[in-house]
Amino acid sequence: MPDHTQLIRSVLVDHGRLAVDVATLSDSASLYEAGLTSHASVNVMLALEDEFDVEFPERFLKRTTFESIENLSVALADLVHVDA
Amino acid sequence: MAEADTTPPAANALAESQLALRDRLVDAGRLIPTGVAGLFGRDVVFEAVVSGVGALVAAAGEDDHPTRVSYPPLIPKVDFDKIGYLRNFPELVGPVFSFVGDAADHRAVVERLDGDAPYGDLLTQTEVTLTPACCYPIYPSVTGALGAGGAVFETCAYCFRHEPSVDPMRLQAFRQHEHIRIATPDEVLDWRARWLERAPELLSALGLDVISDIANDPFFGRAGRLMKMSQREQQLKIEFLVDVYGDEHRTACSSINYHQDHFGHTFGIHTDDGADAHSSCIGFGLERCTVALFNQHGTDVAQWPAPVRDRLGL
Repeated sequence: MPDHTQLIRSVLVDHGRLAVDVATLSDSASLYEAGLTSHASVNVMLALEDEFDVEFPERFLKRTTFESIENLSVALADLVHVDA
Repeated sequence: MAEADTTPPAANALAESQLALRDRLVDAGRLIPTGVAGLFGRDVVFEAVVSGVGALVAAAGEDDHPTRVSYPPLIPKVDFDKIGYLRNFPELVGPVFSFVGDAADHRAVVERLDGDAPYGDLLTQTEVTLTPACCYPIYPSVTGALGAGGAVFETCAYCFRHEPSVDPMRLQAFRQHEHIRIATPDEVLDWRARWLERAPELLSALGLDVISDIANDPFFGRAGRLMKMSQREQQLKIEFLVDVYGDEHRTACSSINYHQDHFGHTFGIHTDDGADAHSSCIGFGLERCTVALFNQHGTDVAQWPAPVRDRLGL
């Protein structure tokens, strides 16, 4: 599985509006506990779609997808793989 | 060959019930049609019920000592845009446009007018927008530090949402009566817990069959789907639904929204500890309550149960 975490982290820095420095978060840390709001998660989703040239299908449009860098990475691996 | 009607029978039956209720209200003189779906005049009886419901909504929150404020049904475009309404609910918006120009520009408008042609593209957007929710003007007004204990507001205004419908429960222009809490998360959730009991009590005391349910706002598009899921998963919106067209087609007469820090962050409202304030509002659709009451008890108020008339001061 390709490692998407660096790109996800840079999107979170630009669009996540987190209360903490993204660099201090582990891949499994809760982004919601780090201050990710619903509105910000939409912006993160749209930015990730641009970066990875994918579209999040309905099955991924739920809070758990955006819960952690790890979960986003798993979702994107699935999407990028399907698109390739 | 005529196209087959693909509308599901249930949808047809629902639309028929909606039309029947609208016709009943129009025939009785309670609603006065204008020719535009969802835009009605109201007679003095209808207005008396609206006032009665409004007074009950005011009384239900009296213990919280709200600051009562009134705004016109317009908000500055700049605040409307900051709130993100166009982003989230584009098909409901009502920005106000007017004419700005010279005599030649005006002649072009009149030419379109005389030719019965659309002229919207010749008008200019003004600095105001029709208010879609009556609490919206309040958040920008409290920018800065809240005192200890936060703030409680109460307000009522006409609202606009562009959703033309035959359903008299879904008007384009309607009044909301709201209570608003802006404070720390714990204070806001305590306040919300009280209203989760008060709201259904208020409606059922008027003889309405009401249930509470988790709901979502009609966020637009794919990004909106994530917002809807997120709103439901976090139980941020609870509706108080009445049975007007059958148990499977209940309509919200009231709802309570927990905005978390959306307005606090957007308008720089801070609690004592310096954090973005959280907020929640409960709104009652006065026309929806009124139409539901006419549906429940009939269009002649004199025939309503005495306790209901007493409560409404009728």
